[in-house]
Amino acid sequence: MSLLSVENLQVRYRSAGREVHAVNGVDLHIDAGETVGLVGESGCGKSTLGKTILRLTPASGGDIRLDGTPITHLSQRALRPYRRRMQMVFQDPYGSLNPRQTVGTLLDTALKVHGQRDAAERQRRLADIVARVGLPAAALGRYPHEFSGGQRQRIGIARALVLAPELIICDEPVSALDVSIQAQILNLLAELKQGLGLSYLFISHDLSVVRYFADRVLVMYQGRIVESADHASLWRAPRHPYTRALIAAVPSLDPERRRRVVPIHDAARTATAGGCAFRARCPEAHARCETEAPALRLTGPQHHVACHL
Amino acid sequence: MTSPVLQVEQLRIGFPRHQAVHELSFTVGAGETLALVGESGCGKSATALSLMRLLAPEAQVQARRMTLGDTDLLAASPRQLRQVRGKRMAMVFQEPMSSLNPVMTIGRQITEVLRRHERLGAKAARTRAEELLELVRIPEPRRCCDEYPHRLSGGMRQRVMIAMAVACQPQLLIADEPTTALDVTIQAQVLELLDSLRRQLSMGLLLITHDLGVVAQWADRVAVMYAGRLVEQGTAQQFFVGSGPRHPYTRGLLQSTVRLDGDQHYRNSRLQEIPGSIDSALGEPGCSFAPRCPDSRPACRLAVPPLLAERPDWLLACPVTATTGCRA
Repeated sequence: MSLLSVENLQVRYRSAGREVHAVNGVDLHIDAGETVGLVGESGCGKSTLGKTILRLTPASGGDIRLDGTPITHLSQRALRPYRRRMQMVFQDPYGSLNPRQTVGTLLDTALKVHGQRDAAERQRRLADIVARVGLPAAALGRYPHEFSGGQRQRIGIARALVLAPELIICDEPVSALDVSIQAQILNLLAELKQGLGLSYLFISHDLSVVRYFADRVLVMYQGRIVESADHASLWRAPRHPYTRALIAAVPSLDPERRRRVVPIHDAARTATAGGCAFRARCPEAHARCETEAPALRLTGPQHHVACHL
Repeated sequence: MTSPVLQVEQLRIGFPRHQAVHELSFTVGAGETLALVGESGCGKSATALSLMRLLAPEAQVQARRMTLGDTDLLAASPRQLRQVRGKRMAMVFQEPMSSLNPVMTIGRQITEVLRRHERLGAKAARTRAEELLELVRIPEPRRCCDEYPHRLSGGMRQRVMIAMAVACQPQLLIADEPTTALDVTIQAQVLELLDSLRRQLSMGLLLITHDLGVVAQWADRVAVMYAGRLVEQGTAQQFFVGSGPRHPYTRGLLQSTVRLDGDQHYRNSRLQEIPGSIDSALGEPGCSFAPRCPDSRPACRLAVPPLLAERPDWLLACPVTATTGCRA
């Protein structure tokens, strides 16, 4: 059984009088010890999907199960033991840490809320976590603003880890960091995964980072998963025209490998009533794409694509 | 070679509590793209703003030379600067939304530049604005002229910014992280556009970025800054195809960049990292990279290494990794 399974998840909300269908029938599963990468451009719904899985945003339909237990409709109180098992690391660690609390208080509060009453035990746990994420013990007595961006992200990770979760949803965890710090944080996440047997849903717009860090990759476009594959086969043989356009657009470090200018059109926000949502930007769209939305189908071992071609 | 469009010698930028840029020298030639690379806080944006003379008054900007063509940018009066900015030198910022006026139509924002600098009449300016929007490949330029910025996507807004910036065919275009806020498919299009405009108008392009892939694909030369100083400068060819950079910081950056065309996966290899952070250099004498440097020696902590010519087109501020005889 998968650690997390999501079926036909729907998220709709109203914005400026218009209905936005942010997540549209997403199925996904994450096995224990697995890292699943979720890529897509801004506004495709990938962050909403992450937050909905944690029940930080209400689902409009569908089913979320953690270890087989449906959590989609649990009350906040009933949800609490499951919350402990799923945590989140955000893109902007500064914006997600209370500036008036020391790192120690910040981490301690999470333990208290989740029922750890033994103060000495809590102290021991904090010291352990801070060391694990590579911060000095003195960090516990300092405030978030006293740290650099990379260290703040370490605090964000410590906060996610302090409750000993099994699944961590990382939403663009390294996008706000400098290249030299990105590598530090990715290495840390990989170490922690190995040491603690974690599973990750790794959300990012940066394909290079996802290539490095994911065992399986989901590509999302306008609220739907358009391609899903094992990491090796996705990068070697991407099938969906959108995935191919994304990969081709990443500038290579090798100037000799001249970029191919992608014949993809700028995000034309056309109405997507019927048909494939990508058709207006797709270099290969044909008549069928106008009328019929392609379903995700199996095209190879572990490789699913939602495209008529 | 013709004389460079922009010449900067020994630029120093000081803020009340810290020195952002120390003795920075570089040039940008006509039709050339110089990439200015470095991590946040290294002084690259302060440098760009100082060229446009847009830094707050408390910033102390000094230089032995800072010239655009034959105009001395430091000595120029506010009035002279107004004739330079937007006409001979223009800037594209990272966040297109916050640099466009939300309550003015796109057309009015572009025609304002044209009417002021080119003295065009209302009608001629409007026609030219539509041409410019066409130049930056905005579909339906006429309709776009009547739109307000919030109606456009991020990529479209950045195109509008570029249209405004090139409206008067400037000699120098400064692009400060022009695609950082954009999606990757749009990034390639915007950079491709900047590159073709540079060729068409033979503009000098100062491209500020932290993305080495962008540098490899779109720059002729690269200047690497660390903690307010130039640490290495060379051609993109040398850095990405030839023997590679020499400065331990540049090398570290290149090695720690995750590559999409590489085969690294977290299950079988660790990423190369640069330990520590840029803060480690604060207040220390000597090379500011020394606390993070794998090659540092005790001497590195004593004095700031001078920037020396490794080759005529290659400057390096690291006596440890320099190979030629001209060490300090």
